Parts: sequence; structure tokens; C-alpha cells
Amino acid sequence: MKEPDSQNEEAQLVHKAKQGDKEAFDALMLMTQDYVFRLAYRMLDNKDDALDVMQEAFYRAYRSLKSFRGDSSFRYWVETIATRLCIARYRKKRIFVRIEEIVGLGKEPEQDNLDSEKESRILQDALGTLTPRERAALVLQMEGGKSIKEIANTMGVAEGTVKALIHRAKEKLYKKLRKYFKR
Amino acid sequence: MTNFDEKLKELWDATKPKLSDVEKAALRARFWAKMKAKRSRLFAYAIATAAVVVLALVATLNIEFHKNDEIILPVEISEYDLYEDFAYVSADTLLLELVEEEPDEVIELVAEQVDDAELLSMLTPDEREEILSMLENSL
Repeated sequence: MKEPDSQNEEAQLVHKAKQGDKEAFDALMLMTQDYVFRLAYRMLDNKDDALDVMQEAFYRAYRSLKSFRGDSSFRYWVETIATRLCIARYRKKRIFVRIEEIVGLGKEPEQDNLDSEKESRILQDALGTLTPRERAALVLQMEGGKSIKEIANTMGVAEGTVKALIHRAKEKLYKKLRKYFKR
Repeated sequence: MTNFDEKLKELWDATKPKLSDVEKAALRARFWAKMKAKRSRLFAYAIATAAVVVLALVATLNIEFHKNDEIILPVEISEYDLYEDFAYVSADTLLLELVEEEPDEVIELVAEQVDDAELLSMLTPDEREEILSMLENSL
């Protein structure tokens, strides 16, 4: 949960940004870009794709800022936009990855030098076995610390669906990662 | 699964992707550059649209002007107006205006068209006497 001061600061920045204050919107981007990047990167497994989605999410937020009523936080609002963009992009990306696998053009796994990079690759590869919605639901829970209800609102699906998606996602990850965790 | 959840959480936190300060600044700079480019495109589009509308309006109004010319001009210069304009101007002045200060050609032209007998019948006896005496003197 965010601190009240932080919420007030954000509300003031949103108010100023709505009146055309670019510096205020810049400050809002600065406050949220780390989190939005982590979400997008976890969902898309590619830095350039994640940056593209971030840019598009901020652009859409800026364009429709006047319709933002402030019922939720700005971060949550951008997170919702970014999540839906990520799901759409990941669906397309998976189709191309499958085609590449079928015709034998799949990329060779990158050789990571550092342990942290190897760990990151192991996790990202495991996440790559999930469907777009399973991945989005899991990332929102793990990265954002969201409740089932919040995830359901962000993704625009029922709470029961979110529970099922997260359950299936963890089962798949367990199968992929259990060998790694046993070491 | 609880044990797995904990291990997954550890792995998740240990591998958090990060953006450097330079990357963050570059991202925001790209965002504003994109906004500026979109605004410029929108502005150019608005100007182009306005220009097309103005041209369409001018074209439409121009056609209307021509329509008006055809209708109004013949009415504006009516015979009545001409009569009013020339009613109080002397015949000599009119004649001079028409022939540009060279009345002889017009006098000759008029004389050819006039029947002498008819003209004489229109004169009074004193005018006839005066003209006859003028002719005798000139001869």
C-alpha cells in the first residue's frame, strides 16, 4: 500500500498534469516507470518490447488523462493499460516464436556470464511456457503484490478465472523449475 | 507448493529487471519527442484540413458571385435609369460626348437620314426665313 503523503503527491501531480503541466506528467512517469518496466519485461521477456509497451502505455495515459477520475492510483491506471498491451503483444509474439520453432529458426539460448543473469534466464524461460493470460496474472501477483480481486479488475476477468490462471501458471513453473530448486 | 512459492519469490526478487538512470531519462525524452512529433502531425493535418475547407468555401462563393452577376447586372442598368441620367443633359453635350468633340460626322449622318421637306414643315415661318437668309449669305 502506498503512504498517504505519496498518494497526495500523486493526486496533486495528476491534477497539474490534467491542466497541461508537462513537468507534472514527467514526474508521474518517473514515479511509475520502474514498476511498469518490470511488469512489461516479465511479461514480454524482451527489453525493447518492454520499453515500447511502456511508451505506448504512457502515451495512452497522457492522451486520456482528462478522463482519469482518480478513483484508483495513477500507477494502477497505467499498470492496467500496460498489462492489456502486454497480453496483446505477447499473443502475437508467441505465434511468431512457435512458427520459428516449427521451421527451426529459433534463437539459441543466450550465454549468460553472471549467475544473476543465468538465474534470470532460467526464470524467464520458465515464464515463456505460460499463456499470455497466465503470465500476466502471475506477474501482477508476484511483481505488484496484487490481490486476486485487483488482478481481476486489471485484466478485466472474473476472480475465479484469475485463481485458475495463477494455479495453472504455478504448476507449469513448478515442472520447469523443480530441478533448479533441488540443486 | 508453499515451499515452492517461497523459492519462486526468492528467485523472482533476485532477478528483478532494472533500468539505468540513463535509460530512464532516454525513455522520457523519447516519450516527449514522440508527443511533439504527434502534435506537429496533428497541427499540419489541422492546417491542411482548414485550407481545404477555405478553398471549398471560396470555390462555392465564387460560383455564387457569378450567379449573382448574371442575375443582377441587367436589372441594375435599366432603361429607366438611363432615361433619368440623360434627361437633364443638353443635346449638344450628349452629342459631344458621343462623338468625342467631332460632331461633323454625326451631323452629316443625321442629315442623311432626315427628310428635308418634313424638317422644313416643322419650322415656324420666321425660322424658315432665317435659314433661307443664312443659306443665301453662305452661297
